[in-house]
Amino acid sequence: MTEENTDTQMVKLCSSDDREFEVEAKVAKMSVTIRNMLEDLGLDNDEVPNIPLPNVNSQILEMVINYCKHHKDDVVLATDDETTRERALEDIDPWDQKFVGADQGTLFELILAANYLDIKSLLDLTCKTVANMIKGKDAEEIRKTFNIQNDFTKEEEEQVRKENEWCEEK
Amino acid sequence: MECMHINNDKKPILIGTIGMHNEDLIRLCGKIIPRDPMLLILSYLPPKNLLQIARTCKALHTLALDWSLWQRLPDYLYRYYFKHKGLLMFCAMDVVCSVLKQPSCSHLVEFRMPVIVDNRKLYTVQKDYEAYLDILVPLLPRVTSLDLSKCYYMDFELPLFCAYIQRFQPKVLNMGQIFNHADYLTNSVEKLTTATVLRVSICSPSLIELYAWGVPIQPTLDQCPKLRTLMLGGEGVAILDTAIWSASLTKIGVDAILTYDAVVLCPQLTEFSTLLWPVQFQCKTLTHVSIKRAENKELVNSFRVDTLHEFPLLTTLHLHEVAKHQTISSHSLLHLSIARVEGPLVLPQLLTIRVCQATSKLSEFLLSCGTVHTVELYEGNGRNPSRHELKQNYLTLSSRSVQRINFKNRYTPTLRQLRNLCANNRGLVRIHVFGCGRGWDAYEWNKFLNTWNDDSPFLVLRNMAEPPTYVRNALRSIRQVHFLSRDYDDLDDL
Repeated sequence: MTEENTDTQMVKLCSSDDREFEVEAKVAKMSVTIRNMLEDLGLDNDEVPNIPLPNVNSQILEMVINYCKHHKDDVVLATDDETTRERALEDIDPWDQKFVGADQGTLFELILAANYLDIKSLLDLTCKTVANMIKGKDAEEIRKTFNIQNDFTKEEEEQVRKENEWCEEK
Repeated sequence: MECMHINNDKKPILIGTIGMHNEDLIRLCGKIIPRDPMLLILSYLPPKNLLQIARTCKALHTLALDWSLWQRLPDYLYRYYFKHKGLLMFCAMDVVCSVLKQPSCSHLVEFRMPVIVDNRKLYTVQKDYEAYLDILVPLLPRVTSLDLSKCYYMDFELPLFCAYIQRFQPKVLNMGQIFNHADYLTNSVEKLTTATVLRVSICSPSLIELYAWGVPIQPTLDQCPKLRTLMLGGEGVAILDTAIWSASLTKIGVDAILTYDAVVLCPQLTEFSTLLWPVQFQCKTLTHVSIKRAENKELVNSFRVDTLHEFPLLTTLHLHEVAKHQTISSHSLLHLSIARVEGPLVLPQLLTIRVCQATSKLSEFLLSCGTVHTVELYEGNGRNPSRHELKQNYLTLSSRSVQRINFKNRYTPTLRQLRNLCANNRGLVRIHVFGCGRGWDAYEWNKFLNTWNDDSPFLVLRNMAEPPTYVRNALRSIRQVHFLSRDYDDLDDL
């Protein structure tokens, strides 16, 4: 089978709560994890392969599939230098903004799913979103935003504050 | 910092004083986020935010100091190692070298010597110290400023050490504390022939002892013809009461000298900073004077600001303390920095004034004076007014001539306060807020977007908490406002 043919073939993705989603292989292959599984299975017959994804529930999987469908034709750009990273933090396209605009719980589940499924662009998007939520906040605000338990003693907190003082000097 | 570890991947990890914690178990909003995505999130953040993250909890403290995050910012890593007091203490030599070899370090002109390298207290053994300097300083070809202030010179042959230091031809040298050397200054410092700035703290019990026995101590700096700035501190300085100064000095900073006859002998002195104002002190060439702190109330009261006319060229005066209700009078003064204006000001030429607290006396002065164009509200040392006081005082700051107001006291004024400032200062064209406060809520932002227009003063908002995205987008279309987010570029101002 040619690569073009395999891309149009359908695959079944099975969520942790046993819901099945039938998607084009091209969409599913945006996930490196699924691509590796498909390569291991081989796509040389007419049977629709069934990929179990026990770490992703149906609600998140549906969102991930929507994301992949929307971005299936994107050209992947190498963007790893510092200036691009900084700029990239500001530039999230409106569709993506809306996509990650759900509640924080869903956002972190998307991060976990993107990490497990190894979808770099989705992981970047969700991590950027969290970074944007952190940017400009002080420690207390960050704790409140993400419900982080402060486990420093007062002395330790003072010590860390002193260590960081150089960055706060004016 | 406690130590530097090398993990299995041979990547050094910086470990804070709090110790290492299992950063694999980081919970955000109740979800356990694995290390890799967490590092990816942090990789988008500038150093300032990373350090805020490090303050949230132990696990994030460890993660935010991960080598990989700082490695991509060699400039900041350098600062992190050498400016950060904790890290300054404990470094591994290979890490120090790898940092200094980064291309972006090649332009650095200042080098602060680490105190402990490879778990060795090299600051106590002269040979060790020199050996490490030999390795490290050549890695920074442009370095002209050496900070050796953490060195413990007790067992050093100071004249020989200074001769050794001279091989790096330093222009700026911070020697830190020197003690137990009677011949410390004359025989040692004269070796530093290229130094233009010398900072030294003299803590010498033996020196004081010698003085008590009547041995004259008059070190001379005549062998340092390039020396222009001398910063002296420490108890030993108190007994140096005669002519130690070189004729070439133009700037002197001293702690704790009680008599200042020597300063009079500097014919070209233009800048003088001290903790205490001399009782008898004349120097007609002075243009800048800074009196940083006076702990003794009597000395504060004895400082007569009404004698400023004895310094006819004085343009800049920084006072932290001044006795209440004294008149500050000078016909040459252009810039004044003072914690709080309480007495009358007779400063007909004044252009800028910095205060910790805006009092009604300040408004009185500004309304009567037509020259001041800039008011800066700065953060003083332990003298900051309460939030309530700030609110009251900002609302009453009035002037005729002020064109610019800078908030450098980490306070973010409310929109109402800004509008009051505009109403009470008709000449205002620019407001600069370096706030580190919580910023404004959505209601205040909405109101701001609706009311700040082309007729308003130009407003620079910096370091404020990030507004919602729609506000950021809307701000771009308002000409009279410039929002600078808290990002690592801010560090360049430090």
